[in-house]
Amino acid sequence: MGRWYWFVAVKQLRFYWKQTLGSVVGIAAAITALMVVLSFAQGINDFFGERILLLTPHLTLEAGVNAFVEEDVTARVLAVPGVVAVAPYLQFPGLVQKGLAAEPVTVKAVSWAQEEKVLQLSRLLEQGSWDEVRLGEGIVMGAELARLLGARVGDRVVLVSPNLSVPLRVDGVFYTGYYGLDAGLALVGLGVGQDLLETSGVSGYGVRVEDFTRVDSYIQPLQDAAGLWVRPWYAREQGLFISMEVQRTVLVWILVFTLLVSALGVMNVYLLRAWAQQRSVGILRALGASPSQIAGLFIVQGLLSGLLGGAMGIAAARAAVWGLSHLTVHLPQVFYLERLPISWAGQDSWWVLAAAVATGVTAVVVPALRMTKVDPVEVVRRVG
Amino acid sequence: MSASVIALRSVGKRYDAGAVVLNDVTWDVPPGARFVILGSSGSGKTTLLTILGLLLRPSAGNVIVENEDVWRWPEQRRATWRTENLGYVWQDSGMIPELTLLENVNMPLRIRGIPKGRWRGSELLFRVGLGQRASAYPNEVSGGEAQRAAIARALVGSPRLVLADEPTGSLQRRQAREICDMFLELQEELRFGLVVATHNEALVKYLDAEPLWIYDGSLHESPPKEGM
Repeated sequence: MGRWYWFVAVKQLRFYWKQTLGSVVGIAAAITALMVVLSFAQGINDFFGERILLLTPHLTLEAGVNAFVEEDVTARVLAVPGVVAVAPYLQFPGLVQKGLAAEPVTVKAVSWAQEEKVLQLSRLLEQGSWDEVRLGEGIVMGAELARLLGARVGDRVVLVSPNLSVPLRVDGVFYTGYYGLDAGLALVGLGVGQDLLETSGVSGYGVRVEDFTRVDSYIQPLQDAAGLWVRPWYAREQGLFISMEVQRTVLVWILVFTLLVSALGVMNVYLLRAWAQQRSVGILRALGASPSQIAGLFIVQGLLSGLLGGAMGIAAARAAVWGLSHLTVHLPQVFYLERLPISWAGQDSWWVLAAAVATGVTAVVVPALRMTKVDPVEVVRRVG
Repeated sequence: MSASVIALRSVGKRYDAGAVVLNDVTWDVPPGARFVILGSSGSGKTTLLTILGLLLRPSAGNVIVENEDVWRWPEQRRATWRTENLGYVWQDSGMIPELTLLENVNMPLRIRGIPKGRWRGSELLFRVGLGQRASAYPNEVSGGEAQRAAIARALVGSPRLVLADEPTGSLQRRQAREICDMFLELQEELRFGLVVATHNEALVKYLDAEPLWIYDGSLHESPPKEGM
């Protein structure tokens, strides 16, 4: 049997175009909302990811809590395929004082020349000169920390470690746009840090790899090469990423329920249309159409409505995301946002389109089943 | 005379409400013949036609096709035989409003899965004088034109038997005459059998057909004594 019901389905969708438009727009609206929310979730994820990566190596090799690495593993780590750069660091909690102001910070002592290859810190300097910074004699702090302390380049501050304290000149101020780093991180030269902790070792090594999106694939080779504990960049901010994922999941489910509501609307439209189409269905049955083909006729209409609504919704969402991403917003400075954090969630569009099609098909199941029960004899008696 | 297209053997029909519409009807419908079944409203004309059309199962008796009772056949076989051998014309044409006249006419062939190259809808629409209205929708043509399109649709599958239920019931006398002339002309050429159910006795003359009367639940060769 030919697929005649595809042809008739398209004709009926066109003939009842106002109802079709209502169904399609209902699905499209829900899909637009879903895609925009997914794009916001993606944008926020990207926003934090990008900013965290500005001052967080792709991977870190660590000895463990309260332990130091005394051995230089640089050469062994650089031999791992895909590793671009490696730099030692010493990390400890500290306090930065300026006058009566004091702020707790995480102190990271780095070898500036090597660190530059891992993180390109020079790009982040908002105040100060890189030539001054690379000498490793002063301190570099986040813009928000500098604001809290009222410190500027050239000022003197005191860095207090668990063992000792040392006066240092502010050589630079960096800005990442991520509040956690800008308010809570201070950088000093590796020698300064080792003097403060009275150690010749380091906390670990930061590693830059060719493809950070495949960061997990480097964990085992690095562990084998260095014999140290390897952590990917996102593990350092796991709480943040977990909360974002939870938020995204909740929003997606809310919107899936919105889709269900739109499916109910579409079902109502088709139930009404099924009533109007009883005559056509009866005639088709009398002309030889089987009940399953009649069901197919309605399922195809639901499928096409879902496909069209999905495509329209995704196109509308793409336009909305483009517009929102170019919108200048005025939020309190603490948010560090000049534009809304929104990135097109293109990779989600396929399952969203599938959800739209499923919505359309689900909506017509009840009307389709009802139409399979139309008795051609009854229709023939009415038209006869 | 050659074997009948459809034969009814002691067919009866009782509806759920208890009304007996047909009772012990036995009739062989020969190929190529023309019959007009005359009866008043509610006499069972449409019931008889839907039983002949294999759409309605009788409560009693057998409907014989190719020496077998069609109601013992699987649904699909019955549907296939119906679409390949029968054509229908209803009082209000039974055009599907969402399709153009040409699409309506070709619909039985689409459903049967006949390749497009063998569709004869255009040719038949020309034959019934609607060649220029092929792309019109049913609500854009007159009742007479819709009925002519319905005849074209009934004939598009080259049926052996056409069943027409009050085909001129909603038409004026002149249009009714035209429809009958068209039936005669096409039947002359295509050799299909024709069974028309109507209350209009003029159709017997228009169609030059053998009359049968339906009353008291049975088919008769003469009218009821008290008239219809």
